[in-house]
Amino acid sequence: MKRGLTILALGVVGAVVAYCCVYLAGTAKPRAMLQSPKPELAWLKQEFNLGDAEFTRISELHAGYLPQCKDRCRRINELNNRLSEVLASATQVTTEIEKLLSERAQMRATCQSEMIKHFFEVSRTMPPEQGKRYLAWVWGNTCFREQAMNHGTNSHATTTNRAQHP
Amino acid sequence: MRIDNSNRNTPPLRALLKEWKQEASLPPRFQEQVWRRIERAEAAPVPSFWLTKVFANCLTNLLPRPALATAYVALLLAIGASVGWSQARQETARVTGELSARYAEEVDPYQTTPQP
Repeated sequence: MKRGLTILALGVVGAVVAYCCVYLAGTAKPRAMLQSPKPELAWLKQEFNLGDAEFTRISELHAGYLPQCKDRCRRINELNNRLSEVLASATQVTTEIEKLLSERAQMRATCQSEMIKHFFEVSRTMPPEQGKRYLAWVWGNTCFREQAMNHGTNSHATTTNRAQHP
Repeated sequence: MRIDNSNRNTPPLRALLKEWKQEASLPPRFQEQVWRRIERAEAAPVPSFWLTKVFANCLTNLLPRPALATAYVALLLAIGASVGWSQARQETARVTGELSARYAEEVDPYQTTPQP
């Protein structure tokens, strides 16, 4: 009886130990990514198999791009606010409204164009195959993915193009 | 649990029984029969559950066999490892998805987060 109980306990303990070992080994990479100073860049490194030199260069590009992008977003938000104020008191399209719309569209176009430039720069820093994969990923996961125009009853549910950094 | 029957003829008990008034007459040797039934009930084995018996039997006779013990431990190790692997995959996919979304949000200000 005692021997049987020992074997029974051994099996249960073995199962728990096996679970912990495999789980910890299997989640080592994501845990390391989460503990890094920039987890999203650590993900980029892991996902696109970047070497240290490539990763350093991409981190520099990223750090250089973000402040400029945030500045453009701030300017777009300012234009949005001004446009809202003007629209609140307007009864027809004035030259000021047209000017603001044009400025905002220009700023949005610049923002998107700079974003695309950044993506190309990052992809060129990667090995060619990974660069292609990266570009395919950004086209599919950013605002450049194909979005159907929507005029139906679901127009309230459509997403607005707010310039907003997380 | 055994009941101490040595008190069956003690004076207090007899006095108490004498005080008890009853109209109906008891069958002959009633008291003796009652005690006999108590003794029989105490002597009967405690009923055990079938599953407990089978489990104990397995622990005593089957599990200590080397082949069966090895198979049992190997099976539990495999189950533990499989569950761990499956959970690790889920966790990795969750973290990867979360970080890729964070990267996309950071570089693309037009990225929209789902409204609650």
